[in-house]
Amino acid sequence: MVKKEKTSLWFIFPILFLILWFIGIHRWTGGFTSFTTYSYTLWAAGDLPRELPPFKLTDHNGNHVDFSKWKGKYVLLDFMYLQCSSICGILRSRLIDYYDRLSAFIPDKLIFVSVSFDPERDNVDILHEAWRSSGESPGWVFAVFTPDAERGTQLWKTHLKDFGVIAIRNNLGDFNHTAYHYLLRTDGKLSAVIDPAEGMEKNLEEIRENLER
Amino acid sequence: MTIQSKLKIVVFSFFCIMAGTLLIPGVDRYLDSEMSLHMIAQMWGLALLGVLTGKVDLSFLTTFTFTETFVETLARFKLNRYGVSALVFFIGTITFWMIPRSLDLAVINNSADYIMHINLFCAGLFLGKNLKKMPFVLKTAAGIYGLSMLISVGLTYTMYNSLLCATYDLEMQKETGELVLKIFWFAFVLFIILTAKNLVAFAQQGNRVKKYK
Repeated sequence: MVKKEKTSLWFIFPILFLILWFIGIHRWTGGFTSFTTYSYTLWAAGDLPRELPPFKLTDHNGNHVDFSKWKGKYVLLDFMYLQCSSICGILRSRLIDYYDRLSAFIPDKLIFVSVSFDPERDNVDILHEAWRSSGESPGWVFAVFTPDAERGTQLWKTHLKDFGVIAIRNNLGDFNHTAYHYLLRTDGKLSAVIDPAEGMEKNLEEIRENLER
Repeated sequence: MTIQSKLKIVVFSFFCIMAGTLLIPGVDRYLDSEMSLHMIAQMWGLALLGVLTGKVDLSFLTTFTFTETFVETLARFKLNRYGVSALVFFIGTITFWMIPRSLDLAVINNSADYIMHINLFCAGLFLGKNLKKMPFVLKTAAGIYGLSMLISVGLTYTMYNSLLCATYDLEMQKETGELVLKIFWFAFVLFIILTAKNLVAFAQQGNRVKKYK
C-alpha cells in the first residue's frame, strides 16, 4: 500500500514569523517612524503641544530658575554640554546666527535658553564664560540642571527623557545626545521640535511662523 | 565512536567556544568599544559562526542527551520545507539587530547583549543546518537581499551626516560605513562566482537529463 504524503504546511512558520516580526518592529520603532534612539525617545514623549517637566535650573549668574520665569514669552530651548567637542559647538554657532536674524523678537517676545546636562563639569563660572563668548546677549540664558538633593541627577535625567531628549555617556566620557531645538509657547508648552539637519532657512521660517501666530 | 564523529565534535566545539568567547566580559567590552567591531566582528561574526556550526553534521549529537534537535522537530512536522523558515528567521533576526535603536540597546544593556549573542548564533545555526535544503532560486534571492542590505547600510553610514547610533560617534559611523562598503564588494564578487558556479552546474544537469531522454 502506498502511503499518501501529508499536505505540507511549510509556509505556516515563515508567515507566522513574518507577522510577529512586523508587529514587533512596528512597536519597537513607533509605527515604523523612529529607528534611532533619539527619534524614538522623542516619539515616545508624546504628541505636541505638551507640558514641560518641572526642571530646576541654575543660570549663568548662579540664580535658581525654572521655566515658569519665561511664561508669556516664547523660549527657544536647546540641550548641550560645554565640554562637547562635536555637535554642540556647531549648534551654538547656528544659534548665534538665529539670534542675529531673530533679534527683532528678542528679548520681549523670544528668549534663548541653552541647558547643560553636565552639572559635574559645567559650573556657573563656565556657563558665564559661555554666555560671555556668545556675545553677552540679554535674551540668552545659559543654565545647568540643578541636581536633586536626594536623587542626584536621576530626577532630571528622567525629566529629560519624558521631554523627549536622551543623553548617553559614550566610551570616551562624552555625551551622545539629542541635537534638536525646542520651541516653547507663551504658556510654557512645547509647541515645535526643530531639526537643525533640515537647514537654517527652514528652521528660521518655522520659528518665525510660530512667533507670528 | 569513529574518528569522523570525533572530528565533528572537535569542529562543533571549536565554533561553540568561539561564539562563547565573544561573551567573555573583556572581549565583549572591547568589541563594544568600536562601532565597526560591534557590528561586523560581533554581530555578523556571531551569525557566521552560527552558520558554520550549523553546517557541521549534527547527527552525532543524538549520541549524547539529545534525541531530537529543534531543527529536526520542525522537519518532522514539515514546517521547514526548502529551509524557508530558517531563512526568514535569519533575515528577521539580522534586520532587527541592525536597527540603530537595537544596536544601542545591545551596547547599553547587558541582558539585551546576551540575548543578541544567543539570538544571532541560533539564527545562524538554524540557517547553516538548512542551507542544503534551499533551492538555488531561494539562495540567489537571499544573496541579492544580503547584498542590497550591505550596500544600503554602507552608503547610509558613510553619507549620513547625523549620528544614528547614540552609543558611538559620527567618525566611527563613517568608518563602519566605509568598511561595510568594502565587505559589500568582496561579497558581491563571491556572490557572482558562486552563482555562476551553480548556474554551470544547473546547465550541466539539464544537458545530462536531455541526453538520457
